Amino acid sequence: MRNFRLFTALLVFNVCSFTIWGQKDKASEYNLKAAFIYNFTRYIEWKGGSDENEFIIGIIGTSPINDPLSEIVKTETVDNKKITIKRFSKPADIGFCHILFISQNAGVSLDDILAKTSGKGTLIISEQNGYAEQGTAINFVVINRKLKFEANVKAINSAGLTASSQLLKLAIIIK
Amino acid sequence: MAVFKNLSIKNKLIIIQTTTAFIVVLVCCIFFVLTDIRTFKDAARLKMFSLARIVGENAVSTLVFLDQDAATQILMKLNKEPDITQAAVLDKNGKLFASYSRERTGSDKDPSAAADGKQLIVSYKLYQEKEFMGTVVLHAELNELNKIVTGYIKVTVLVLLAAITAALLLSAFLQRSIVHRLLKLVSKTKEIARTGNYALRVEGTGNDEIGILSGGFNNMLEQIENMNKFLKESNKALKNYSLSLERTNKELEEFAYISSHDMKSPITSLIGMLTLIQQKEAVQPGKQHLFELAVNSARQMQKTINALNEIIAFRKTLKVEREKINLEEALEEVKLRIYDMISSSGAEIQADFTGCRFVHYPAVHLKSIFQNLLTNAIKYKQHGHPPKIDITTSCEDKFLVLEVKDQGMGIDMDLYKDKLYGLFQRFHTHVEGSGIGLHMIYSIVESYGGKIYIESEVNKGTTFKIYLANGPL
Repeated sequence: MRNFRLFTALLVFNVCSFTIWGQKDKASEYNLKAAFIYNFTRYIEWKGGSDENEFIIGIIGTSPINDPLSEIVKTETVDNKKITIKRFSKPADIGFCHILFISQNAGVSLDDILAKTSGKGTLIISEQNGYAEQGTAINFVVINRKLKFEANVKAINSAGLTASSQLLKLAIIIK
Repeated sequence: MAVFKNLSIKNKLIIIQTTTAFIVVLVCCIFFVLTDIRTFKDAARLKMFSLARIVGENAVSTLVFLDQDAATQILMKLNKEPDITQAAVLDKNGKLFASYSRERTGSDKDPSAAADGKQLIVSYKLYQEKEFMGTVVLHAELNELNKIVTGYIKVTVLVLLAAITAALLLSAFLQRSIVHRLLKLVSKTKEIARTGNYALRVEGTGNDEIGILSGGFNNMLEQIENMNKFLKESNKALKNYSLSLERTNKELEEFAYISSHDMKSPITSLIGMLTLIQQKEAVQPGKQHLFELAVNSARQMQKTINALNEIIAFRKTLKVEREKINLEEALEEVKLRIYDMISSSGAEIQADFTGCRFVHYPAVHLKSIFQNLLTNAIKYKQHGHPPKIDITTSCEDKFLVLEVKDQGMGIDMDLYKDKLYGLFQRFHTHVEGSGIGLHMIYSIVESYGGKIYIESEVNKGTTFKIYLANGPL
C-alpha cells in the first residue's frame, strides 16, 4: 500500500506532464495507462471462482506498458491476490487471464482475440480508435491531450463482468 | 420607585402582573430561540457533512482516474443547494483538483467571514481501501438562519404582545376582587370623613385580608358611633347643667342686687336716726360708749352694702366695647382722679410706656385697673416711706404686658395665694379698705381673656404682671 501511495504520487505528477505530452513522452503515457489498468481492478467485479490464487494480466504484443506495469505488479495485489503478467504473441497462445491488454503493436486480428476470450471472464483493454465499437470492453483514447477511456458496456457484460457506476460515469460509453 | 409608590394599587397590580408575564415569556422565547438556532446550526452542519460525504464518495473515482471534468461535474450538482457557496475537491497533496463557486457570491469569500456564525465550512477526507485520496471542502452560508431569526423575532414579538394583552386583561379582571373592594373601603372612609355619619358600614366582607380590614373598619365605626353617641349625650347633659347653673347664678346675682339695693335705704336711715339721736343728746351720759359702737357697726355695714352695690354695678358693665387707648393719657386721668390720695401720701409714680404705648381695651376697665393698682400701692405702703411705683409696658404676642411694681408691705404669698382674688378678702386689716380692688381687676382681666401674675415679698414690695388681651389692631 505504501508503494501504491508512491505510485499515485507519480501518477498525479504525470497528469501535469501528460498535458504537455509529446512523442518523447510515450513513457509517461504508458505509466498512466498502467496505473489506470491497475485501478480498473477496483471498479470491475470478476465472477471467477475463489480457487484462483493469482490475478493474471495478459499482454498481447510488445508494448511500452510492460515496464511500468511490472513495477506496479511487484507490490500491489488485487483482492489480496498476487498479480502475474503473462505475455502472448498470437491469439492462439492466449490462456486464461483476468485482464488482456491488446498492444497497438500486436498486429493480430481483433476478431481472433475476441473469439479466443469470449465468455471466459476476461476484461479486454485496447488502445486503438474504434476498437471499443468492435467489441473490446475498454479502449484508451486521448482527447484534448488527456487520457480517457471508452467503455463498451455490452462487451463488459457479455464477458460476465460487472463494471461499477463510478467507473462508467468517467468512461465514454460505447454501445 | 417614588413614582411607583404613588400609583394606585390597581395600577401597581397591573404593572406587576404584566411585567412578570413579559419577563417570563421573554426568557422562554429567548431560550427557545437560542435552542432552535443551535439545533438549526447542528442540523445544517450535519447536512453539509452528509453532502460532503456523498460528493466525496462520488469523487473518489474521478481522483483515481484523474478526471477533473467529471469531478467538476459532480461539484456542479451542488448548485441545487442554495446554501453552498463554494465547493472544492483537493487531491491527496492538498492541491486543487476541482472546484465550484456559486456565481451569486462573486468574489472569493474572506476566510474570516467564518467567524460571523453564518459561514459554515465542512471538509471530508476521502479514503479508498484505507488509502487517503483527497479532501472535499464545502463552504456554506446559512442564509436560512437570517430568515429563521427574523421569523423568530416576529413570533417572539407577537407572543410578547399576546402575553401582555392577556396579562392586562387577566389582571384587569382579577384585580376587581382586590382593588374594587379596597376602593369601596376607601370611598366609604372618604364619605364618613365628609359627612361624619358613623352609622355607615362597609358591606361585602370576606375571609381574606380585605375582608378582615373591612370587618375591623366596621368594628371601629361601631365603637366610634357608640362613643359619639355617649359624648353627645353627656354633652347635652353638661349643657343643660351649665344652663341651669347660669340661671341659678343670674338669680343669685339678682338676689344680691335686690338685697343690697334694698338694704341701702334702711341703713342710711338708721345712720341718720343715730346721728339725730346723738344731736338731740338723747343718749344717757355714761352709755355714750355703747352708742358709738352701734354707730360704728352701722357705718361698717353701710360700707359693705355700698361695696356690694359697686361690685354688682361693675359686673353689669363687663362686655364693654374695646377702643384704642393711649396708655399715658389714661394714667394721667386716673392720677387726677386720685390726686388727693397721691399728694397726701407723697407717692412717686414713674411710668415708662416706650415698650408699648397703645392698647385696644375698654377704657373704663383699663382706668379701673390703673386706679385699683395705684390705690392699692399707696394704701399698702411701708410705714414711714412714701410709696414708689414703677409702671412699664411691653408687647408680647397678642398681649399687652402691664407691669406695676411697688415697694410696699407686700403680701405673704404662702398664706394668701389662693385667696388673692376673692371678694372682700383683706390681707392688711389695719388699713382701711373694702376688699374688692383685686377682685375687680381679676374679673376684668379674666373676662377679656388675660392673665395676672403676682410676685410679692413681705416688706419688700409687690409686682403685678398683667397680661391684657390686646384686641385687634
